[in-house]
Amino acid sequence: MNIFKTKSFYKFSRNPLSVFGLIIVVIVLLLAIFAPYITPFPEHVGPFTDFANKSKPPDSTYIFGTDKIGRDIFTRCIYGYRISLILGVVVLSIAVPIGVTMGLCAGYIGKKTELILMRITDIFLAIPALVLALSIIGLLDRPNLVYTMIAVSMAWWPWYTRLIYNLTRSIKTEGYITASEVMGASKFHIMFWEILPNCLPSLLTKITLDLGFVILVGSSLSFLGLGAQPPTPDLGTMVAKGASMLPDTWWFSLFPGFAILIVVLGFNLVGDGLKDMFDVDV
Amino acid sequence: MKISYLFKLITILLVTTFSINTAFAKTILRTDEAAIGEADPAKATDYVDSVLMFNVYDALVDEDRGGSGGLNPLLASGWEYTSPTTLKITLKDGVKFHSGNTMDADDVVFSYNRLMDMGQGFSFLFGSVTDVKALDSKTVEINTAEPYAPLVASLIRLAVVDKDTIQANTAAGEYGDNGDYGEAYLLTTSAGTGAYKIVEHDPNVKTVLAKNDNYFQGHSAKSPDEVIIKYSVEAATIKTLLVRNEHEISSMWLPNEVVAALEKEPNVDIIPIPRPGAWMNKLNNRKAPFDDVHCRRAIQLAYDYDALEKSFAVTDTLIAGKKSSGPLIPGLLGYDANKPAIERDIDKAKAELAKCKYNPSDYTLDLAWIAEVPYEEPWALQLQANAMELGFDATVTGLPWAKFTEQVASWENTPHATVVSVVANFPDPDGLLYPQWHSSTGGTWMSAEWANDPELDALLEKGRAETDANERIKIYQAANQLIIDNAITLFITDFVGMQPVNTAVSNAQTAGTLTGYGTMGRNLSFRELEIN
Repeated sequence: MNIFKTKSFYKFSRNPLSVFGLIIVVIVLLLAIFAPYITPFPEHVGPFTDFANKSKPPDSTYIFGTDKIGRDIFTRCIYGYRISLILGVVVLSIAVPIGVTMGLCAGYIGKKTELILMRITDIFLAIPALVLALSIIGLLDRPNLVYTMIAVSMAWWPWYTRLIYNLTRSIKTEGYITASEVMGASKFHIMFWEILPNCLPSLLTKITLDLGFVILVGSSLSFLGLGAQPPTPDLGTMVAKGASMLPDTWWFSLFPGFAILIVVLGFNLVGDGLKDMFDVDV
Repeated sequence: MKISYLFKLITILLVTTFSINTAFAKTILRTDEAAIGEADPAKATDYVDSVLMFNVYDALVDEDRGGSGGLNPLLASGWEYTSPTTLKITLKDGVKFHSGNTMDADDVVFSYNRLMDMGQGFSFLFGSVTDVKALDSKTVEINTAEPYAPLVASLIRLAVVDKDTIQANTAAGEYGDNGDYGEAYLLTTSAGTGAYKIVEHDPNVKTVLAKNDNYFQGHSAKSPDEVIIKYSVEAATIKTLLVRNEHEISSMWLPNEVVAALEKEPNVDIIPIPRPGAWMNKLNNRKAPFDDVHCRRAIQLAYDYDALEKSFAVTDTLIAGKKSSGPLIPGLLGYDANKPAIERDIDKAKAELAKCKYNPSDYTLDLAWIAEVPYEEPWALQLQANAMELGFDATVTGLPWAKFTEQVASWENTPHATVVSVVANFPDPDGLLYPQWHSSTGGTWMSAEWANDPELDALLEKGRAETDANERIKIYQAANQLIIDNAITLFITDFVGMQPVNTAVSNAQTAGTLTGYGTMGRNLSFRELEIN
């Protein structure tokens, strides 16, 4: 099946905001992938200082200006996208399988399994994601990107459990599920081969929407000094470092902040488009 | 007619009210510092603690205004050595504490005993003192185990407290008959003779000081009636307040970018404050790999001092420092203006690293800077870049001051390197060198190196005991060189603070006060400042 010829994709392509979001996401992905070839000063990403060019406002050489140790902010924003996207992908790669598996088990097996899994999920859901992530990082050693990923993942899986649990409860009453059970299909088969594929539209939509949110939470943690550590370029950290110098050296914070806005907006618009395209509620 | 009378009456009332308000208007000076502010002089160690100590308490001696490093009597009227190990001090008559009690020799003895029994703050300065006794109500005798050259200078750090007030406010505590020595009482109030008294104090939020109208030295004609010190306020907030004339003196810890922006403001002056101290990266000498002198030398030779020098420029005309030639700096006995600055030599650095028993790739260096002092961060990042050049991995962390002072209490928790500025505790090289690099002083923010060098210990002890000035110069120059040779500390620059001052208090008297004293915290003397 050619997805570009489907009715759903036609619906997506007729939504200018979704297309705009998709363009943003594609551009950001390309920038992140080809950062070493696009950025003018890739060496500014590692341990580098150039005090002779510190705190320069935007000009033709440094289009986003330089930071307080002379590093090109444009270069660091582009590389910052890499960190943000890696964070989003890794977090969802951890959270989605855990959440989906727990949701399928709770929704399909039911009874005590449902009771235990969903109450655990409810406990996690009762704590705001950022607060939970902060607490988890506080329990770990010195903050770094890996710990941020672990912490955000721990805060994120319950949403997938809740989503898949609800979908499973609805799907398991369908006739083809009963037919599979009568034919002696295993629970594993039914959950992962019969139910899960029917959850995919909702799952994909939520993943797309969540990429933006995860990047935002990751940036918030970095803003608080709990994300990637120097000299790794991180958009949240860059915003935080410049915040105390606003409005004089406005370019320290403005461009990284704008970069976060763009990528989050892009994923949200695509997510909204997918929601309309699949006609699902997440 | 009646309307005319009414108009005149209103005018007279308005003029009278305005005149009374003007005549009795309280002048307030608002400033800020990094938390936490320690109000008890027996526990004071850092800059803001010293500011509180010098404004609220007096010592027996004071530093000569003008940066000569000379000493004047303060609560003392004079002193004489009756033997090489005995100092006799006579006290001034009629000096009153904030309580109204008269200061006498018993208060001096009590203050000394309190400081030493509590064993905190600047007690380490008086390790060679064997006893302090009152010969009569106006005479104190201090005996030392051996001749102690900086004894008189170190007395600047013995704040005299009001014995009767403290004893009247003593709670149960760990000091036997002395209970808690008034520790709880002095957490939030004062019992000194100083020019200001504490009326409100929260060590993390703010301190409010009120003028002591009975101060025995008096105040300058336009000194502030009230001083508000706010703690750990964001740089952007301080800048806004200064520009809006809602803040008079900023701390010296603002980011260079903010100072550069403030320089353009018509109602803010930037006063460069050169003082006998330095910015340095304190290497933890007991933690691997820096417990090996070769690893320390490698990082010392790899540190890019030329790059650092460029970071000192706040603007084209405001330069906050110069390349360092070691711990002895202008204004201190033994400083040699011709001594060459420390330079980078990456080949020698690699040769030293080859002699180090540790493999750099096995270590992640923990490099720290003080979170309240953002302009330290570039110096930590520079060290990170140079350490990585040598093959170390390195993390850079902004540590809040309170957390740093807590961590340095054990060498295991002290970072591999921390950017800190240290200014002399009193106008003598001993006041700068001994508390930082003598092995007995490890565990304070000043001694984050945990130095453990017997040769250096011997020199610092010799410098204390030697009374001949020329000999002391040789001793301290030798110590200076040893600290460099053994790479105990990485020196960044001699201390030049940039103090943004609102034009409401910017004048020759204020500038002369801020730049006129070398001792840490002595220069922010509110009674000597003038509000325009």
